[in-house]
Amino acid sequence: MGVAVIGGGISGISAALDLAHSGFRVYLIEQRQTLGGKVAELAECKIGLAPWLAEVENHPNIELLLGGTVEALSGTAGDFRLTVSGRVLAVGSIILAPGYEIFENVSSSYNLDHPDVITTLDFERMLRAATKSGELTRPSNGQPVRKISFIQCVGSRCTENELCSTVCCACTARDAKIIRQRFPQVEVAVFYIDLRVFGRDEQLVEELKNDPGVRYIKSRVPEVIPCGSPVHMDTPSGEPLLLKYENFAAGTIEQQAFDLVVIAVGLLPSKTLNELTEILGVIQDPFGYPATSATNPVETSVPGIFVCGCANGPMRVQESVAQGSAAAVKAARFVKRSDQHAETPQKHAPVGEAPRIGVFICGCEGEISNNVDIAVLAERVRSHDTVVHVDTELTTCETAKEKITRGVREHHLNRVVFAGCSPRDSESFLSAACANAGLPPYSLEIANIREQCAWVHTREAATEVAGELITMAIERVRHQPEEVIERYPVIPRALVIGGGVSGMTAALEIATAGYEVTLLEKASELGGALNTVYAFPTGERASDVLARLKADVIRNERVTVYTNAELTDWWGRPGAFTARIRTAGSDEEIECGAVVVAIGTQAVTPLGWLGYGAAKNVVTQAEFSALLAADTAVAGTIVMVQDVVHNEGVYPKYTSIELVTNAIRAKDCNPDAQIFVLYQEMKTYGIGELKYKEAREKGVIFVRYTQDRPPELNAGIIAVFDMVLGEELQIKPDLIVLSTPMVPSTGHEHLHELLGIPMNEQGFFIEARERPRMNFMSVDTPTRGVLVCGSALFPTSLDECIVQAGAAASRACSTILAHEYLTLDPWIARVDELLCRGCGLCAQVCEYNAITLQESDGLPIATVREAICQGCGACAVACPARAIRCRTSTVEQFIAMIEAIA
Amino acid sequence: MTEEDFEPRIVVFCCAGCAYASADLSGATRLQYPPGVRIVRVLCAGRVDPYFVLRAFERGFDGVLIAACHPGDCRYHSGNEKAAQRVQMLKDLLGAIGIDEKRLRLEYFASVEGGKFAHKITEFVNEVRNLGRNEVRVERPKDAPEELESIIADTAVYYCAECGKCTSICPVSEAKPFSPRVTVGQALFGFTNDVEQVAFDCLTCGRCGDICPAVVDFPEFIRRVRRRLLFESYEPNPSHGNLFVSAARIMSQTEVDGGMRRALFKELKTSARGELVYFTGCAPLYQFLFKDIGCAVDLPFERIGAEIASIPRDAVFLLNRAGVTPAIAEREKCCGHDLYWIGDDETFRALARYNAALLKETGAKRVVCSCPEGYWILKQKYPEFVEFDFEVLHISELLQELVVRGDLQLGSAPADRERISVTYQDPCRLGKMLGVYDAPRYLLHETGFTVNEMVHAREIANCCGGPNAWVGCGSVHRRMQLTRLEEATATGSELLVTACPKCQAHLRCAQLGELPQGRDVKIEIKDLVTVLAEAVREVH
Ligand SMILES: Cc1cc2nc3c(=O)[nH]c(=O)nc-3n(C[C@H](O)[C@H](O)[C@H](O)COP(=O)(O)OP(=O)(O)OC[C@H]3O[C@@H](n4cnc5c(N)ncnc54)[C@H](O)[C@@H]3O)c2cc1C
Ligand code: SF4
Ligand code: SF4
Ligand code: SF4
Ligand code: SF4
Ligand code: SF4
Repeated sequence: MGVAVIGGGISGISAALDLAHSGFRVYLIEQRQTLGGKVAELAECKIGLAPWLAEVENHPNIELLLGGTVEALSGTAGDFRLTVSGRVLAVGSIILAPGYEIFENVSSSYNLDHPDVITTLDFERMLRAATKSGELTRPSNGQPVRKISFIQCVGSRCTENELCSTVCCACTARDAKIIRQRFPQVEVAVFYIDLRVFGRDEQLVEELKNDPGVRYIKSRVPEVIPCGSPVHMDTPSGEPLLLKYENFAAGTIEQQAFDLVVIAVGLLPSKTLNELTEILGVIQDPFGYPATSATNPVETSVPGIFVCGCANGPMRVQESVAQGSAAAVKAARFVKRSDQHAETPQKHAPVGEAPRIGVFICGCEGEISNNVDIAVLAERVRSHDTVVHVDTELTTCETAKEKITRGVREHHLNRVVFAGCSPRDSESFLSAACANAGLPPYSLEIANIREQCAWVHTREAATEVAGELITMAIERVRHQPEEVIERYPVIPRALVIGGGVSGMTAALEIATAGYEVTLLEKASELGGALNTVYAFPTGERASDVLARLKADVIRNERVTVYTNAELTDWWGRPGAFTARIRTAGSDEEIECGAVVVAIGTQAVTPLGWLGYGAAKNVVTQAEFSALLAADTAVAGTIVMVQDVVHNEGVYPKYTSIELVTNAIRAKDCNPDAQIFVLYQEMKTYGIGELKYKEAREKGVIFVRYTQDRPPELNAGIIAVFDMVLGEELQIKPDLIVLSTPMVPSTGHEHLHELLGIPMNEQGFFIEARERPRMNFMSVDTPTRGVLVCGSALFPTSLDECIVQAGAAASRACSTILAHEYLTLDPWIARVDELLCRGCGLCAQVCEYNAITLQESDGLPIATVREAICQGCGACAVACPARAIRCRTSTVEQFIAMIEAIA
Repeated sequence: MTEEDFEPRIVVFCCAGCAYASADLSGATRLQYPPGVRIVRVLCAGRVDPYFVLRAFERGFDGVLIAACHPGDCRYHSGNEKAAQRVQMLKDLLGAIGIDEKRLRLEYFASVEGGKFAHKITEFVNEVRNLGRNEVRVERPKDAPEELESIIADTAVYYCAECGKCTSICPVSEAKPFSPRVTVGQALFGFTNDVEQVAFDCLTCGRCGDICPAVVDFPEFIRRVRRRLLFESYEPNPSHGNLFVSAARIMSQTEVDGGMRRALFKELKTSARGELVYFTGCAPLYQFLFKDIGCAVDLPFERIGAEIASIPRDAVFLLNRAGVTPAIAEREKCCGHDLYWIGDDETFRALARYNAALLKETGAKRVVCSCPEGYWILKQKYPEFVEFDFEVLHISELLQELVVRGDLQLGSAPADRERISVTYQDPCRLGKMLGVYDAPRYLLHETGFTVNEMVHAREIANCCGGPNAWVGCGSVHRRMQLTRLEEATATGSELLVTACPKCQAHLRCAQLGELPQGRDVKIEIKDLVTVLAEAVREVH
């Protein structure tokens, strides 16, 4: 019994991998012949995807059904029968991840038929090609592009698709940055209505706005006028496309010519979703997405069937990945672990033996053997005295795996050199092949004789280069210092820090997956921010959500709750940490395998902003929610203000949605109330767009101001310059409601230092970066075994917190808790205590706080915190005594490689 | 000198992130690039040790390219920025040691920039082709390693009386399990491995040799054992990434221009020819070498390096004040002291031959050094290895002569100088090995300082704990340095004066960072000529 994942895009892959790593059997069903979905079409993402694809294709727990069509479903959760292209699969649960389509019904006024008018997706392809060739050219005539414009919100926020597609503003910004970086001579103009970007993307847009080569123009362009049309008379020659738009600030109509126009088309649910929901009996919402709720964001109407990624609404890659993980941990409840255990037990070659190197040369089905003389290579390789076995009979990845495992066993090899394709393709499955034969991960080195030889040189040169690359690889493994790879048992318990909605959800998910959880809350009560929120835009009352969660947590016997508790110290290795916890009167040490950080955020008290704190009639948006919830009468003129202060904290993702929801509630409660909303960008993304529309319908008046002319309060009158009207308005409010930004919680700095989680400029945590895997990681931190979720990353909405909590739980299980034993990453830094002079330079250059100085016999000596070190090697270079070194990239190895071919 | 048909050999250090991916993409799209390129995958561009780069040039590669992710894209946050800083430092250094800095490049790549990869590589290879071959090619020694017996015979190890005096006096033995007596014993038994293991533990300070009743020349014994190691491996645990040794090796085969020295002395009076030559030594190189940490942190080393680099300026300033215009051999190369001490006789001889010829060209009769290592090696070892008959002096000796003759006025210092008390560190090469103890003290005294002696001074002075020939500078060395500094602070002096740039570097390095409570090592450290020059400037 396994889990069926329908859709091989990034969200499906994320779900499949988490499940497989936790030891569950997965059927990954993809209608096309290739995996990767849309990400495989995005310019920057495709290459980053490769390692994930290699992992999926080679994981023993994953069965791929490419070209598979879902035909029928019977049974119930825990015992489904899913028919895929005639084959009946017995599955306990199903994850829907069929992704999205882009809006195709673009109005003819945009002239999409013109070769120089293209959609964002086409532009991604074009950018990829342009980056390769080094030139960005016009499809119509091959001339270099000088001016590009982007038109936002086409096929979104309109009658055919009422939703805001959420991702396009950010995608455009990212494309603009790439254009400016790679083709600095090209100018970019972006026509937009609202800039719906959040977090890091907000900074990106700021950066772009300061770039003289980029213009953000707030105006919707109605049509693209091609060259030759009568209205196109006065266009400068050579720029074939004319855009007319209203200049809000000047109150004039302007026109601009461009030679490429990119239409930022909206996202729609995948075309197959209708059919799929029908087969599976899943109820859809009015927009065609499977119906879910804020508190159950990945659960469909049918128990045991989950939905994730863009099939669950438009979202970014990172969110799709998180949703995949969150769906995985839920789907796992309905199945048992397969016999194929999460990990094959390993025994390791004894340390201290002389190197016995095996060299395996792969022909790669002709890709290499056609252009490299393998017989010559074999001859060269045999002349190395440490090489005891040479195999040239490898042709495919499958034979490579088999032959390496067999060769290591039969010839008692303790080092392996593989000559073939790029390690980016083969490293993961070849090190698994070595591990199967009992070799530690560092005993493998790959000579890339395909990408770096066969494909780029003539036969003669390729053979010569390949010979040297193999020699270098041999030297590298020969000088690899041996270490005892210690396997240590994993402690099947997670420590969750923070008892808000994210922390509680993560705790419950982990407990339900079968592991112990210690939940740490600084305050005297669980609940965090939920204690001060009254209701969610989606209608749920916070108190109900909270009561339900708390009851579940308290009832769950695997979860132990500590309130008034703080983490004071923490050490150990991934899978085997010790945490020191201080509660009211005592200190306690707790052992745990993984840590989930969910410490949330805190609101700024806007003292002095528009009279807050001094005047009674100025409240925060949260306080206003409370008033509304308590059915306090609202009357008179209410002025809601957003974005007033920009340098104190960040505005949460839900700010605008919360605002319009409250505006609607106020109107509902008293339709005579006059409501003005003063704002800069209305960020009602996704379904929030409907609320925005509703608020406008109900007579709420939106006044847009600009950063340089913020609203001012004087003698009880608010003066604001409305940039849309181009006029100053004076409003006498009875109530002022302020949306407030958030700042990191007091615990951020402390946990940053203790757990090594990096922070951004504003002090929020940032997730691990896998380059070039793009920012696919959503809740992982650079410290293995430490996950972070919820508003501690970026203040966000309830449903996203719940998704991230599920994702963190899923990652905690799949990377740590589901394994009986773990080993340390082989590359981490080690200090030779006799050599260390305690100067502390290493600690200064380490970006992760991984090094501490500890006194030993009158001298400080550097100590590496094993769990945190990333093996980057910065310290090894900085150390004047060369006392600290990364174990798989030592000076000796590199020098030996250079010497070998000198 | 361009050869159209030569194919440059290039090492590309490629970060495993975007840069490696772009190389792969270049392959996948079949974009050809020249076949002399060898890609070495590193986890992060920040892992590229300046030593890897120098080593590649030392061994004849024509160019080195470091390929990193674009700024802001580093998986490890700032590895690419660190790499950029190191590349800058290396370019300065390469220029100073005679390698065109254009042979080293840093390029940023995104994973999709396959075209750019092939393009940039080709562009770089062509640029290097235009520069011509890198003519440097430092080889391992060619003769066979010397037998232990012959070393034993030459250094009188046979006569060891097994008395143990050496071990009792050895500063290293105090800090870690190491005993010259045991090593000598092991040599006699033919336990070559054991002897080789400790070859770099000894500081070659010479204290044991001085007191040995059987006149065993232990430092020379160690030097010859080290030479044996050159045949098979590399300097173990090189400090500062072996940059000093590597730079000297490269310099031994390149043509250096005089720009660096010209710039150093530009406001002073020097001449191109003359009987009195001031031998500058490698001090000016420190301004580059000590940037090897090259990261975005506060760089204490950089400041130390800058101060050491200015020692020669102070020396020449003092000479000028005495009415002496020294000749400078602008194209002087490293003296080879460190190479001599690791047993690299070939490189040492090449450097000695070059410098001797250059000095002759300059018209030298007397050569004056401000660095004790240069002084010792020119005076003691050059004549052994090459034709060399000049009188070699230490700057303190010459200055003493000038003061006695009345040419140089150090005194008439302001009244308050009388109260400044200093202590003086005897550098081993100057003191123990050449017996110059009095001249520096005389000069300090004439300037008006009170010299407080440390517990261990003059003949029994302790070594600064500097790693000999920049090999290994660990906890053992720092403990010695701290002990020495504590001796200095215990004298109650305001200033620790030394006549050796390396003493200064090592002792100041030991002061860096936080120390356990109770250890008082805070004392200002300056070179003798710097102190004298400051005093003279103040007077006038
Ligand atoms: C132009 C553009 C630019 C973008 N740029 C960015 C960006 O810069 N950053 C960012 O974070 N996000 C970006 N996005 C959003 C990003 O593409 C999505 O977040 C992500 O691709 C969603 O992945 P998914 O797995 O949910 O869906 P998909 O990638 O669409 O994958 C779904 C898969 O399921 C398969 N499938 C569908 N139906 C079935 C079925 N019935 N049976 C079996 N298989 C099925 C499909 O063939 C497909 O392979 C961009 C989107 C667009 C349009
Ligand atoms: S406002 Fe929404 S629909 Fe419009 S471009 Fe931005 S993200 Fe897309
Ligand atoms: S390798 Fe060094 S610098 Fe890099 S993370 Fe580890 S300890 Fe820090
Ligand atoms: S840089 Fe080297 S010597 Fe200095 S503290 Fe770190 S490991 Fe020790
Ligand atoms: S001092 Fe000389 S004689 Fe005495 S043990 Fe040492 S080497 Fe031998
Ligand atoms: S030379 Fe100095 S460091 Fe070496 S053994 Fe003798 S006393 Fe010890």
